[in-house]
Amino acid sequence: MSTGPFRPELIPLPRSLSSDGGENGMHDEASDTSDDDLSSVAPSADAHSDRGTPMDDASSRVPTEVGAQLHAIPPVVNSAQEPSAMSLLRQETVVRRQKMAVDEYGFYRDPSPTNHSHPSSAAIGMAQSGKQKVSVGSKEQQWLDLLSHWDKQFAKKRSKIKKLGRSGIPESLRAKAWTALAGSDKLKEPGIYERLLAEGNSPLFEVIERDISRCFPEHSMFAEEGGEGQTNLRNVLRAYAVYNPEIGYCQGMGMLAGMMLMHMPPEESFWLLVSTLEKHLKNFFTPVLLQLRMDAAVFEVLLHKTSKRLAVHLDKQEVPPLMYITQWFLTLYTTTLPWDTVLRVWDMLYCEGVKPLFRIGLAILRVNRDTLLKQCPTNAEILSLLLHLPRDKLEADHLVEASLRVKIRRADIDHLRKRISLMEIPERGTVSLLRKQRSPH
Amino acid sequence: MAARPSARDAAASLNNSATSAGGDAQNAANLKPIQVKLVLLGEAAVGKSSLVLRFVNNEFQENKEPTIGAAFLTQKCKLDDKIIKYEIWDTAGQERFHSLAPMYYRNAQAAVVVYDITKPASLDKAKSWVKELQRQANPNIVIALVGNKLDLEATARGVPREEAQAYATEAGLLFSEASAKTGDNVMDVFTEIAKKIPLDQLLASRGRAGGAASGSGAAAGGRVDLNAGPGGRNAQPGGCAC
Ligand SMILES: Nc1nc2c(ncn2[C@@H]2O[C@H](COP(=O)(O)OP(=O)(O)O)[C@@H](O)[C@H]2O)c(=O)[nH]1
Ligand SMILES: [Mg+2]
Repeated sequence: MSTGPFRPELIPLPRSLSSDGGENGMHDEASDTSDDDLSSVAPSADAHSDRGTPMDDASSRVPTEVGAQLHAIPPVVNSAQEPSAMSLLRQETVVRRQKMAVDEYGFYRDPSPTNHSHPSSAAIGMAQSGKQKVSVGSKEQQWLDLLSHWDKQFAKKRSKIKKLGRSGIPESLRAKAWTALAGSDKLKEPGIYERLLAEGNSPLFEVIERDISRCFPEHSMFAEEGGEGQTNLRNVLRAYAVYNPEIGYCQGMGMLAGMMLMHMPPEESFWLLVSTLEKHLKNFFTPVLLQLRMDAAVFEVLLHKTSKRLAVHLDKQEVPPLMYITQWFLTLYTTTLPWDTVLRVWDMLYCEGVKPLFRIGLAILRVNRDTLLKQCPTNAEILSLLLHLPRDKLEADHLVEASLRVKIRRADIDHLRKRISLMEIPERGTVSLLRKQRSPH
Repeated sequence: MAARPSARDAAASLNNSATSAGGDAQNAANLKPIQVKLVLLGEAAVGKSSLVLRFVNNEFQENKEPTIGAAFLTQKCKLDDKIIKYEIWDTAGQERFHSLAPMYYRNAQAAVVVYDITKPASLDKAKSWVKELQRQANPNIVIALVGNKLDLEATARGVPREEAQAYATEAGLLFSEASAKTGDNVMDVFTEIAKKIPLDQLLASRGRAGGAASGSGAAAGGRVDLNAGPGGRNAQPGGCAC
């Protein structure tokens, strides 16, 4: 392909000119199923395109549609008149910032409902059920009481804390609560953070640098190139890389640090990152992602236990959990769920430990179960769904409730983790407790 | 985000498809797409995700979220009278995600191994990927070596074209230099791959397996068979999941 004139022979078939069109196509094809299922199998019209592209399967597409699609081709622009992509982007970013409001979490919100990356559940239009809801005022008071006698309360009131965590920590106390729950305030030693920044150096700084402007570019705190938010993010990640050279930096950690910085100052964020990676995500980010690969095997067993049919289906289609939980776990769902759901997951994680991480993942599969079984016959559809989840079933209360219905015990996880840790884990590839060791080949 | 139509090559191809749409539509639509599993490998930040985005959406983004694990995208294309559906795994480039790579290339019929023409070290990494693929992947896998960021050639080229070309020839790879940013040669890469893959065999073997992916049983059979090639199929006892 290096020589000779280009002869265009391969013609990409555009999925459709607009995402609406694509959705309609899907609707037409499967009009005999319920609306609920449709909305989730239809390619997520998520125009936030760095989440990837909704796929256009439709192997049964009717002839006229292909014809119609072939005509629906983006207009050809004469390359001579084009401004550079860079300047286009810059302009667009400026325009967007001026036009766009910031949502309650600080994300720029596109006026069009399908076009923002982190819709809150309110935006999706799900009403809260209200049942068994503790009012915000009294919840705040309960947290204040807990936090004021933390050392005494913490050990005694585990189950109360767990319950409170499941209903969501009030935004005003979230930073305090996370810090106390993770024990990062205890970990913090004065002066260390500054020293790490002043004296440290690591070849990983270059790797970190590549990701700084790519971390939450849709959030007002991090959008500005070279702004304070990006500087803080760089500092927290650099400090960690120096503080713990064994882990250093791994993609995914930027999302964690970013989330923390949205709630607390850089130094506190750094210590929360330290304790989170030590307590909750221990060994997840090691050079061979050891714990992640082991937990994928744990997840596989739990899925078999809690949803056998789905587990068998995914297994048959060669979709091992590692293919989807990598993104879910390594970013603690920040790149997966609507933002207010993400916050609730983090609340539970700090209140309960690692169990919610599994439970939420299993709940995501559960709420999409029918779609996966009935409308995702091959791994292409399955993966397109799982890696670009339709937002409508991920509303916070709904997903948390679904996760609480996933009956697993902490002891199950501990037991499975122990079993897998006794196995020989290869440097690469998936591991499984359900079959004999899978080799990379 | 900013979508920028690619340079003249892709534009010409799109034009072509538009004019031929009426005549071929009927024909093309009657064909079930031939699934081609393709994996992108290469050092972090050489532009794997950008190449895919250019191919699939015909756009380029300056600030792309880093790929965590791997992204999955599909793109249907028409080559002569066949419809191909590329199922693309865009893998994360950071070294520690290497531990996940076998899962993605294990069943692939094609691989695009990317380096950055401004970074000689990235070609070394590409070579080590090629070696790993030749050792571990499907023996019939079609591998294309792609030097990306061709738009920076004038100011920052670090890898002579001849050097990479010579290596590719010796190793039996397709080769081209491309730019995800301008769109130059991107389409070409996927065209050459499609031409080199034994599509007829894929079709024939799928026919035997009972047709297209319309039910889970047929789908599983079809996919296993897709790996059958001239040198025999990818031996995978029991078709166990990776
Ligand atoms: N100049 C130039 N920059 C590119 C090109 N392709 C990608 N990039 C930039 O290189 C960086 C890494 O790109 P990305 O696609 O995320 O690389 P990946 O890590 O291999 O997936 C981004 O900042 C891109 O904007 C290209 O063809 N030319
Ligand atoms: Mg990438």
